Amino acid sequence: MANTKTDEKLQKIAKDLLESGEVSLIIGYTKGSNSQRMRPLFVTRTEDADKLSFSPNAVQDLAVFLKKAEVKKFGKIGIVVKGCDEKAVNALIQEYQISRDNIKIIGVECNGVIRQNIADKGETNVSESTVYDKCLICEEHIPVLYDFLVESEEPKLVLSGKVKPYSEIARLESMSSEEKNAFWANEFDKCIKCYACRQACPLCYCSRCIVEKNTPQWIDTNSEETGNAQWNLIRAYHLSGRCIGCGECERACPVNIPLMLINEKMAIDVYNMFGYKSGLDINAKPVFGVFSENDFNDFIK
Amino acid sequence: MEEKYFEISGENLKSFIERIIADDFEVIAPIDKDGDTFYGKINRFEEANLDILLPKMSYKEYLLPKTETLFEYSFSGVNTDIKDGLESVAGANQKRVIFGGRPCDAGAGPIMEKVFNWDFKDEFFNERFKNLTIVSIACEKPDNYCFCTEMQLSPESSYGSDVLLKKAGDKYFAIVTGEKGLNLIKPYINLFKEITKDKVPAENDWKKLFEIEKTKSFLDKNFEHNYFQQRFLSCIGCGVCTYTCPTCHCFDIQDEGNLKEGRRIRNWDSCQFGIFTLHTSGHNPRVTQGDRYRQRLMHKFKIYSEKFDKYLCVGCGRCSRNCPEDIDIKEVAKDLADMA
Repeated sequence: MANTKTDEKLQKIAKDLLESGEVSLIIGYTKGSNSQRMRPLFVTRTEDADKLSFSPNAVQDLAVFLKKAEVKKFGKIGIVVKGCDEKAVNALIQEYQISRDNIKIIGVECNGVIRQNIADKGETNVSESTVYDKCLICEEHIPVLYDFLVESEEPKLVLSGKVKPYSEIARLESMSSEEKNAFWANEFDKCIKCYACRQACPLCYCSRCIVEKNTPQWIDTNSEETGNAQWNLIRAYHLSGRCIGCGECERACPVNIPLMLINEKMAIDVYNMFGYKSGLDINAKPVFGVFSENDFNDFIK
Repeated sequence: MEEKYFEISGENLKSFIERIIADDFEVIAPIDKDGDTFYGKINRFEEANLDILLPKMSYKEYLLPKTETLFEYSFSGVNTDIKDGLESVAGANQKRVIFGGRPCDAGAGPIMEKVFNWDFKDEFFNERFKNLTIVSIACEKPDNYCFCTEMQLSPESSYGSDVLLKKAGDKYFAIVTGEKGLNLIKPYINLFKEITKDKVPAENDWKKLFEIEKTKSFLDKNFEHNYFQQRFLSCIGCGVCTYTCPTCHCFDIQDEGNLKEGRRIRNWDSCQFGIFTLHTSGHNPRVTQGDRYRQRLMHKFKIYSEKFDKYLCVGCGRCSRNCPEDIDIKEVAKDLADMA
């Protein structure tokens, strides 16, 4: 397929950055295994920059690679990010995982990405019924922070309001504790403990995850009721106030557990309690990394 | 037993499935669930989605559960009670039928059986495998991720199936490969019409995109090739390839328990995890994701075939379709064959 204007702009930025030596690696997207798929591309030579591309099939959050030792070795890195993914870069900077000085952010204006399972079946339209729920609540179609911005050629996403993003959250909130337990027991029963949710998450960067700590064994290793619930709950809490909502955990999950219902509910609660949204400001202190006298403490009896 | 051949109308196939369900068989078939298709129990024939190419996950869990109890123990005073996990596995799958899977999935069983009976006979696997009855349906339209033909099978292969159905218009040809298949259909034999082999249409001439032997010969000589490190920079080590794979069978043995009771279990494990090969000394022979993906390729296309005369891959393409970062193993295997 021919280059779009977006592709050309991306390629030019990448070439300039590599030629000037400002970065030694560009992480971007290129065309994937079918016409409706994109895949990550790692460019270290200017001649390979021509393969860079972007489309509403660029579903991956490339910030996930910033936690990888093999990638960190490159030092100064340029990264192509959508608005949601860029928040992950910010959160990594906030949590001192990467330095702002070592990263060139190539922001791409994004008007929504098509859900991969329906794209695989041939869906090509970007509309409120084909994009991820995260796109319907997106307030960062243009990334909040960037060194370069590539504007979109795609039409803006039109929201009629008919599709309610994360509508299950309201339904779950109205349930009794028993009903909620039953709902999640059913979902977690599907879990196979592959930990793809963790690996696909740009903010799950612990060099040794708690499930891998076995002296003592904090989390049951089994993939049954106890082990599955422990794993999914502990991941939810470790991501609360941190998750930026890219939805990669849910997309990677091979058994379709609606993990974003948990993450989004956590994000809503954290915002309501602390007025904090993750990944919007690299100078902000992470909400659970600071103590404020204004924090509510009525849970202390 | 020699293969037997039958014809069955679509209507009779439906009756057959509904009658085995009525006779207390647990029928596992592709069902639409959570926006995709997975193997699951059906109560009526219509619940099975027979048009889908492949469910998202394989049915490996019926041979090797994601968690399996090997034994349980409990203490009372100075006595220790031990219960062999095999007791609860006895007879497992005796009345279970996998219906509507594909030849690739069916091929995985006998391939895995080899490693589970190599220097040690894995009674848990064997007990489940010997009882499970597989009624597969030949593929008419493989997709671009499929490469069973390259993997010495074919979209119409009966290897590993107890009964292979081949659709022809509104009827099916049924190839019964052995006693297990025959025993399943025997009580309902009036729904089937026995025919001679020559009445079954010949296999299509499925074309290969590459020769897997060439992939192997590249792997034989190029352990240190920089292809692996470069190509798999995009691998995030999520293990989805191995967990959705019908032939990946690595497991991890763990103990769970307290002062009164406990159990030893085995859980699915994956060579794509960083701690898979981490030594207690702190040394890890597979440091990078490139090392780990190379291991998966080596195991599938080189090591296993040298030991067991079968490649550890049936070419179902699940690892490619399900890879969050779009790593396509068919493309990789072809790349390697091209470089050989």
